[in-house]
Amino acid sequence: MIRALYTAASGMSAQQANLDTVANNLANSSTTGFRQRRLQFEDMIYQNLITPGSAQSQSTVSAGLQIGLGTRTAASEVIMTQGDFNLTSNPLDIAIQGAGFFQVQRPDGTIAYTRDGSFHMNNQGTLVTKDGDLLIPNLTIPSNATAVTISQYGVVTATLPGQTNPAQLGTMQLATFANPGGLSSIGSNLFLQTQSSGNAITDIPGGNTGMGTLQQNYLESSNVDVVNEFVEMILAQRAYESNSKVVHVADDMYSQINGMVR
Amino acid sequence: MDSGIYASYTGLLSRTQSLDTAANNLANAGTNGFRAERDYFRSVLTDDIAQQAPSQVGSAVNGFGILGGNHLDMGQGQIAATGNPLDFALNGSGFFAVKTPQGVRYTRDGAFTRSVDGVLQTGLGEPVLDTKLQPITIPSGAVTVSADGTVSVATPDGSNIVGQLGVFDFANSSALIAEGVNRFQAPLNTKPVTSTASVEQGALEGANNDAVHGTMQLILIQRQAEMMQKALSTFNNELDKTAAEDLPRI
Repeated sequence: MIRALYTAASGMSAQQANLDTVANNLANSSTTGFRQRRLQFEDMIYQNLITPGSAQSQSTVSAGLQIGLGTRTAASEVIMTQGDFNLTSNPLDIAIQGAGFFQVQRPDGTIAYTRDGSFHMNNQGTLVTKDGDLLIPNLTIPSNATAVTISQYGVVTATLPGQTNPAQLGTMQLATFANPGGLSSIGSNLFLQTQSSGNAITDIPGGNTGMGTLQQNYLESSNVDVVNEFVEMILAQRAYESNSKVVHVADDMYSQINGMVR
Repeated sequence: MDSGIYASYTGLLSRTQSLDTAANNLANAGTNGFRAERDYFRSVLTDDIAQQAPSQVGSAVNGFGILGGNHLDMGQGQIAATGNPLDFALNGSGFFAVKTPQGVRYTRDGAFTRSVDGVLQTGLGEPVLDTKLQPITIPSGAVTVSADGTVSVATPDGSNIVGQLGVFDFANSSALIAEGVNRFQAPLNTKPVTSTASVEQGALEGANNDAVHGTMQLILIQRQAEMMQKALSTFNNELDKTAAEDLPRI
């Protein structure tokens, strides 16, 4: 019965963590390029009172007696489905259609990865994120450029005054991972590569490595499905409730047993 | 002392064990591919009356109800779409095979990922096995898995078949041993057979313990425990106490 109390407590804390994840997903439902996370649970070890298949007097027992000891959170996986595209008509807003991340250089020199393609220019005309992290490879747009065009395959061209042909400024590159679900979120819409995500594979957009293509003037919104998160929230609440019922019943039985001796 | 007090004691004890199982079933309501445990009770005879000419009275007073064991409920869990191409749900009886350091284990939790080398693996990093119990390597590209588990990958050169997810079943799957982390171990001398379950991509199967059954189980255990407790206190307070206190006065 003490087991039941702890088991129910494990269920309650797991559902609490589930609700925390749902809350974060919902809070970021309008964050550009946000990728939702999903919590995964696994069952804890089992106490084998009678091992299945163990020898009995004449035959083997067909099914043993195993008492499970609850649940625990196993992982919170990043879900890499596509988010919706919003037309912003800002020429420096770029959405990735398909797999891939933009590479940005953080102030400490490390490379981070993002799906948030709302870029700006710094005082040198170089493309940066809204936190001022440089886009890799660097792209500098001349101050006298009248229009900037970014093709589906990442070729950046600018129209300069007095020139009929647009000038090519460079090509954007994207990065993918063998296991994008294993990336580590560090906030500010950024991800870092980890041992489980593998090293970044860089290529031009639409390249042979299965890279996505670019859409200028668009931003990708978060991939959080609000309806689905609400369903998840209701499920978490009800599961929490039923675990608290178990605590109640275990406590009740306990007090009855204690009350047996008069 | 009468044996009735032991009979009600074992009854109460088995109900507390049964509560532990019910608690575990409810705690794992959110665990992918979790299979609920169902208890069964059996009676034991405390002496070998049964060996000799069994008498009704002897069997009744000496038959104690204990928790005989539990088996896995292999009913289907709810399948919920996730949209993640490496999430798989099994519709029907069957298991995915995974390679662990302890040997091949079986699971219905199909939340898989691709390793750094492209090997299909579980969340714990254990390779998922194909029909010949070999790991499956998936090159980068869009993955499509058909109902029979055939994995194909769209590459710039066209769609390539890279393997087939192994789905196995057992003649008596409820005797599988749950070992935690959503895995089951097959008892010794059981051979897996090919399963008829269909694989659904982009979905996960939840636990198969529904809330109604879970709550009903709780109420049942609570009331039965109450009954046993009443019986126990009747033996303790009414009969034995009376015997101890009043008999000497006669």
